Amino acid sequence: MREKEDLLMRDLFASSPSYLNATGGTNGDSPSEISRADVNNIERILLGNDARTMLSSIDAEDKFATAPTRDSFIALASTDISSDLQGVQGVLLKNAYPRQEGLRPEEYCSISRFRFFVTSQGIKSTSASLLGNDVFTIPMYGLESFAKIEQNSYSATLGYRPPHVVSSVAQNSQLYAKFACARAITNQNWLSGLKVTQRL
Amino acid sequence: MFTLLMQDSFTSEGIDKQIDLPGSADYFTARNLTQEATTHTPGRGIKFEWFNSSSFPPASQLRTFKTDATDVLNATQDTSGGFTYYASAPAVEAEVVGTAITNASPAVVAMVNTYSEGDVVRLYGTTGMHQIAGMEFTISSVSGTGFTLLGLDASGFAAAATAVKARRVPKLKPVEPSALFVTAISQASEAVITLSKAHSFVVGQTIHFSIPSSFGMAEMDQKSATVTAVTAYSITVDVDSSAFSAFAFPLSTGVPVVRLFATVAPEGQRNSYNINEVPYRSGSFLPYMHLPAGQQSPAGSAGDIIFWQAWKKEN
Repeated sequence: MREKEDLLMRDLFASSPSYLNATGGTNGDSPSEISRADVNNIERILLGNDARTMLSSIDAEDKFATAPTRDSFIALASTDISSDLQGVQGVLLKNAYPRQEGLRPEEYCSISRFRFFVTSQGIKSTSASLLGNDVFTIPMYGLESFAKIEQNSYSATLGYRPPHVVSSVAQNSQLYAKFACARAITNQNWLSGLKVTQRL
Repeated sequence: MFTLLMQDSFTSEGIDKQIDLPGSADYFTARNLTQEATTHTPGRGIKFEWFNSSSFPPASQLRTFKTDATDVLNATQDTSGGFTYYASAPAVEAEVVGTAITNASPAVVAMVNTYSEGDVVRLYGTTGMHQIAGMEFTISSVSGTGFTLLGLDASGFAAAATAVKARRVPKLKPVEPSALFVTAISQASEAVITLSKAHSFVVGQTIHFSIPSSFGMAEMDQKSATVTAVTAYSITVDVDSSAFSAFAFPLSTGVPVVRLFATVAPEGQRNSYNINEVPYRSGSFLPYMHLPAGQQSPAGSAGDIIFWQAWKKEN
């Protein structure tokens, strides 16, 4: 049920915001694979629209092979492009953050002003690129750009319908979950993102 | 034995309607209460029925309609303009290879065609016209040898495309209304935006532009606006673009280096967004029934009151 909620929110991202094709990669496709220049361009758009960052900075500490992160916007990417994320110039993989406390398992890396989270349920469009490859959409957003609205006095329900209720011959029972999920883009200016392909 | 799953009514906005159902339906009916009480020439459809049967392929219906200017009823079975029942998420279809896209207004695609009027296709591999590769279009004037892209004026393009690949995609996005591709913006006191697909934006809706600098009219980038008029493929907005730079597609040779695409999306709740008027509705809710709008279709014309019922057969 919680996964379904996530999918509903993903669909909201997939359909509503305006995305730019990545062009800084070298795979010769349009969009290209993700690059530092593309990520910086989205940062420029968000900052130009007065978006606020969502995550606070992680200060530097005296530990080998670690580096601080700036206060950051959030980016949601498909697990299918995780190898491309590792190849972006200046990427800071999660294990190189000075502190690991409080990090989500799904967080992958930090690039420029964005912290990237990956999911197998990421947005993917089949054969949407110039060369007919799959295109992955990466929503990148700032604080309060979208909302999932809770309903007053309403929570999730897990229900069971016995066989004699489901049909007159009582062959099958049903198990169902019911919940309310109201979604809204609250400010389109603070929600942008990239369309990318894989590096091949 | 039939069980009534759900019933309700709505006032038509003159645009297609999607009705989410709580379970699979075997019979669906819609009655146009407004047209039942009046007469017109040509006679309008007043009762529309659909059965879950192989006799009712997508977009078909059993239609009861009035004779011109009288209350005398007729009935017929249509294969277009009727209900389409979605029981599983529509998928992207197999690739079809074509031979050309004209650089004309509107652009015409040449390929062995089995698609239908109003379908949405994604075009890619458009050699010579790479600036549109990856865009989705509503197609019209279909024939066995091709179709027309009413949403694309390609007369300003340097050359025709000498190859094209297409895949039919679902008409509805997971969430509607969704972001759409912009193919033209006029320089006028109220800018007219042409879109690649037939859209569901309505007057009063606030929208948001993303226009990369490669498309010329950089002044429109990240601008918000309110829709003041609509046609099937265009919207007019309250932005004076008469002094803006001209909108133009980048050259095909610029791809993949130039940034694509010019898009417009619903604004969100900011700027008097009216959630009652333009709800973000889910297209991924299953099952659902799609009701097309029109004088002879179940979602009716703007202002019509439509009463509908969904029934389930019990074995």
